[in-house]
Amino acid sequence: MRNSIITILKKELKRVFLDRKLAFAVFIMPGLTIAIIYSLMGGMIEKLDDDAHEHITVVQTINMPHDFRLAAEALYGTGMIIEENEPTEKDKAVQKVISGDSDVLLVFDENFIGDNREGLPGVTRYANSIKDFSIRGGYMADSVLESMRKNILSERLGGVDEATVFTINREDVAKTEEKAGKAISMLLPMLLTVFLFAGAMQVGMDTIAGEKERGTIATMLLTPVKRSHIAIGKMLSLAIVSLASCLSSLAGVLISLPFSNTMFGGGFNFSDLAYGVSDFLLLIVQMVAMALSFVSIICLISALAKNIKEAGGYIAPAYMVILVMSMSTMFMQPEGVWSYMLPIYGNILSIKNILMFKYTHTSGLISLASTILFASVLAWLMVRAFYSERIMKSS
Amino acid sequence: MIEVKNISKTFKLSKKQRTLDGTKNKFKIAVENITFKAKPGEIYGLLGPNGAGKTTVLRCIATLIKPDKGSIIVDGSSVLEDSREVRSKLCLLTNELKVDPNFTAEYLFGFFGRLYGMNDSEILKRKKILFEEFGIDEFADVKTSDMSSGMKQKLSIAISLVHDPKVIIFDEPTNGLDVITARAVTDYLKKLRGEGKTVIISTHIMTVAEKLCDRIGLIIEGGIAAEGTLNELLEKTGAADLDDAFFSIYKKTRENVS
Repeated sequence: MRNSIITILKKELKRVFLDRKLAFAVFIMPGLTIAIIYSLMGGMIEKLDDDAHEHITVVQTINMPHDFRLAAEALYGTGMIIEENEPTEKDKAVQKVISGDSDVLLVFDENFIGDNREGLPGVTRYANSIKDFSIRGGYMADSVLESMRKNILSERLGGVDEATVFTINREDVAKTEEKAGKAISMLLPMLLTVFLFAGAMQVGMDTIAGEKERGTIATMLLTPVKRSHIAIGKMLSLAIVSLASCLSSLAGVLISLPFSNTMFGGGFNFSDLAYGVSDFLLLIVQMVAMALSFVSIICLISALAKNIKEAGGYIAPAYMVILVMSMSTMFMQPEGVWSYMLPIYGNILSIKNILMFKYTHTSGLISLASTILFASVLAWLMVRAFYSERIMKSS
Repeated sequence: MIEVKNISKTFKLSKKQRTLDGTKNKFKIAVENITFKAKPGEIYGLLGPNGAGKTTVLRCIATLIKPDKGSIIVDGSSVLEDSREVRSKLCLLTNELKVDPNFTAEYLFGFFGRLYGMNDSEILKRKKILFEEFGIDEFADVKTSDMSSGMKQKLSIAISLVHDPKVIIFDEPTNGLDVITARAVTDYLKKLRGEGKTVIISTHIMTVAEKLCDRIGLIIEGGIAAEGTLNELLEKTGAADLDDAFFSIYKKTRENVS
């Protein structure tokens, strides 16, 4: 009767692969959408960056010392225009920063660098935190002021070396591939998790809840095939669909990389990612375990639901939980072994470790065991649901 | 042979169902102490109004639901103890059973044949007989989503009979069918009887029961109120036809209940 599992698995796969619209929606659409969206977003981020570099920052000043102009010209040359105003024009100058006609206003104390003044001289910087060019202009003005401070100190102390006090030499001990791995592991585990779940969700609801709703599952329940075999056949086919859909989405990400490098942090070369065969194998094993757990969640919910609509309503919160879980791994570090004991979460952490070349067999096996145990419990519950008169009576 | 012995089935009612039924009872007795036998080479009819419990009895025989008490033996196998063996011996035909809209008749017939453990040559042999019988050859390669309801019904019947079952259970065989398809179905049921199969049908249409059934069990309010051949029922009630006989028994049963 093992053949019956294969017969059901083949039928379910045939349904997805031969239905052109469904196959397109599950295997082509995600990759295509991701490639387009990522390329567009990557392009937009690059354009924003380019715009920022092309923009000439306008700094208005009041009581500006000549040293500031010298420092600004040395640092930014023609990239910064400095306008001088009278103290009486301050309100008008602030209005210009608000409207975006200029980016920053610097109001220096009177006699800023003079000798005959009491206390420390000050400068007030006006910038507009809701305007990107103004924020950037503020940082540029800060750099010029810092440079000016160093120049003044050098003059007072008699040389640059006296003003510097000490130098800092910063060395990065991380390997090139580790840096690239860290960059890619920021977003990719989350993407893989979402793609796996989304791929299974689309087909999963129709495979069980849809068949219940259409009344087609009852015809199968009337055959001498064990109900557990029907359930397992459907689950395995869904796991294959989920993995295939995930690979399609992944291909979409890879296709869009030349355009979306900035989305993954940028500044590193993908040829630095020296993953070996064992890394890919470990990645696939973790993905298979995760796919099985997602499939078991979706199948159980679909089996309990009366129709596709109801299944969709129940699966949406589960999707949100998975999404939050995957996003949390972007910012949180695992705290000990117990993190890997959490089903799915442990898998995402293990995937991240593989990508960062930090994988250990202990944590990997713990995450695999917990997820497979979790998937098995849900699969068992799903099989029980297939034997339940109350749950299956709607079919 | 089917032997149904003292079966009872109670369903738990949801809040919504209780509101619809206008009752406060959390449970509804669908059938109680039903006993009857259907023999090979006969068509046994369960005749009763809607909601009397006919479909519940048929679903119990087909192993889709389990009776709370009593026993059902299908061709020597117990429904409760060996449901898979029972399912390999029978088929249940009902309008509620649908065929997957994504596949052709050709594929679905083979798929269900394999689920019944048949090999390719057995499937081919049965397909030749059944596709010819129901005229499915003409639309064998059409996806079921593109078929008419008559075509789907014919395919559904052919699929149910793929494993050449000894017992055929048909819930409301002519419901929703056009006159020609309904006639084809009733003729085929007679043919199956002629082949020595055990056939059980449920119906609320008197003429179907009159024309088709060798023996009839009148099921009213979850119990068998009377049983026998058409002549025996007419004799018992002194009625001129089954319609009158049914109402006579129905009236008496209602009086006894109240």
